Amino acid sequence: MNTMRKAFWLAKLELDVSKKHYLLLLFIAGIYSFFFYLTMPPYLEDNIFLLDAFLIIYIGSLSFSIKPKNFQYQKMDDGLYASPYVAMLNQLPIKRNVLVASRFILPYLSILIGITIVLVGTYFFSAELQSAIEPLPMIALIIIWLCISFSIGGIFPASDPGDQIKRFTFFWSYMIIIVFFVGMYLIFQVWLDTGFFKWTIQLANDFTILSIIMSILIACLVMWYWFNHAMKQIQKNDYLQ
Amino acid sequence: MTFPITIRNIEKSIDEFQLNVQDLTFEVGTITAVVGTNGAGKSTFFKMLMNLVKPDNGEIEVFGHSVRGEDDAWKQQIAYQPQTMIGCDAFTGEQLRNLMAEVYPSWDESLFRRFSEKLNIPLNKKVQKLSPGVKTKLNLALNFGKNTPILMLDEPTAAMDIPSRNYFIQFLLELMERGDRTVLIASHQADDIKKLADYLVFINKGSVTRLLEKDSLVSSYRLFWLKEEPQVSHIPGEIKRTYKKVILSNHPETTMAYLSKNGLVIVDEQVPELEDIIQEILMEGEMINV
Repeated sequence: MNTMRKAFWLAKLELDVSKKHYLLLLFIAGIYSFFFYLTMPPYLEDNIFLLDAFLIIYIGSLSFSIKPKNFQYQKMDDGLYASPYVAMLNQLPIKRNVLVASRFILPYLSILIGITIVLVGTYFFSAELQSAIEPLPMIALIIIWLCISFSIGGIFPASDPGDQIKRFTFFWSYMIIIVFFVGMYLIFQVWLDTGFFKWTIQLANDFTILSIIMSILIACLVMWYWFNHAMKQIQKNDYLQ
Repeated sequence: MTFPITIRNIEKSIDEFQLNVQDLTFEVGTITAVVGTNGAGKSTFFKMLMNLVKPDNGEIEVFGHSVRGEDDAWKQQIAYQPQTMIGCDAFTGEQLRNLMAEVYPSWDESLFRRFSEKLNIPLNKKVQKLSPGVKTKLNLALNFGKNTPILMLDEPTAAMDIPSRNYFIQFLLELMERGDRTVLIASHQADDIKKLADYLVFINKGSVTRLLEKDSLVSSYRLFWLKEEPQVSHIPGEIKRTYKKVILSNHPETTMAYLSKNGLVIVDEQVPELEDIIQEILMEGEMINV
């Protein structure tokens, strides 16, 4: 409890200097809501891959759009990429688990706000989405997408303590992103003949409770992995700057 | 007895660079200057003490607690000021003060206020808008405010103006009067070292000397002004010869005995300036074994 209290205190300090970035978050959420509202009718009919891809890109951008430049993952020295803010906090008598936990609070808050706005907004304005899913399963759909977003978005706070970047690290990172999108296309568009988002609508409609439980369980496991990864990195890295 | 900082045979390799520190302890109530050329490894040495850079071998203890342990509570005992203030640009001085006061139980508001008010540090401005000198002053104010038993300052006066530097020296010496603090300071300023340091540690190409008492070090060197130029190219104890007749020796007794035996007349004899000794040690690579 004390760990979380201290982690929230640190997150609040960070929030004090990143308030204006939340206006940007609202702006981005508004644009995406409008885009999804426009593309929802053809998507529900023809499984347009673009909506799935943009939804993933949106989730990825939520975690770092709220961070001032100084807090973002960047080159620290020849090999290390990390958040300078985390490097500074690591010099202070702050327990590692408090430091790491504090990194997840604001990105997850922005995911909570961003996903809720986009999904509720799209549902509110899109008659097609309303006819595809009832309000109760819609709540399950929001929970499913929050869990997906927490799992994907957790990579950013987990990276804050830093990584040793070698010659081909960025190349392989881009390759993983490409493979992820290609995989998503092959699994959903080619194999299942649906869209990723549309597939989650089916899950929420057909297995409302089960999909909620499974999403939360998987998200907890992934978040636990990200938390431990960050803890290991902070103990392993040399902060030469 | 538990020392504030104890080092046992630490080694660290970073690419081509290697840092080796044999057994070293820092006592309470002393100021130790860590001296070395640029890139010698001073900052890496400090960062190893803070466990920001992890040694390949060896052990570092702060008041008997290993810095490699799971518990980071030992950090409450150390105020560490790195050369550059990273990760603070988005904050104001007041916000950073709030952070430090929250995480350091020993925070002393009066020390922080006294130092920052005397040096007119604008606490409501964002750090990114401050000049390098003012950033250094703010960093010092925050570190003094932490009021910890150990203070580690990496080139703290590098960007500071003369009055502020003098005030910093005066402030630090005043803090030392209580006798319960241990200070490590990396500096290129001979004047700072002369005024502040009790001990010196030299770092040269990754090798770290043992703790050297400043006064003993200075008195172990002597400048001999000779009447005539010696005919031999090297005199016992001689480490440098200028104007053909001025001999700098790090074994004055041996040198004097040789000069006397060979009938070479000493016109004048001086204890050299600390700056000259440091220059000799760093530039000529003469590692101390006094």
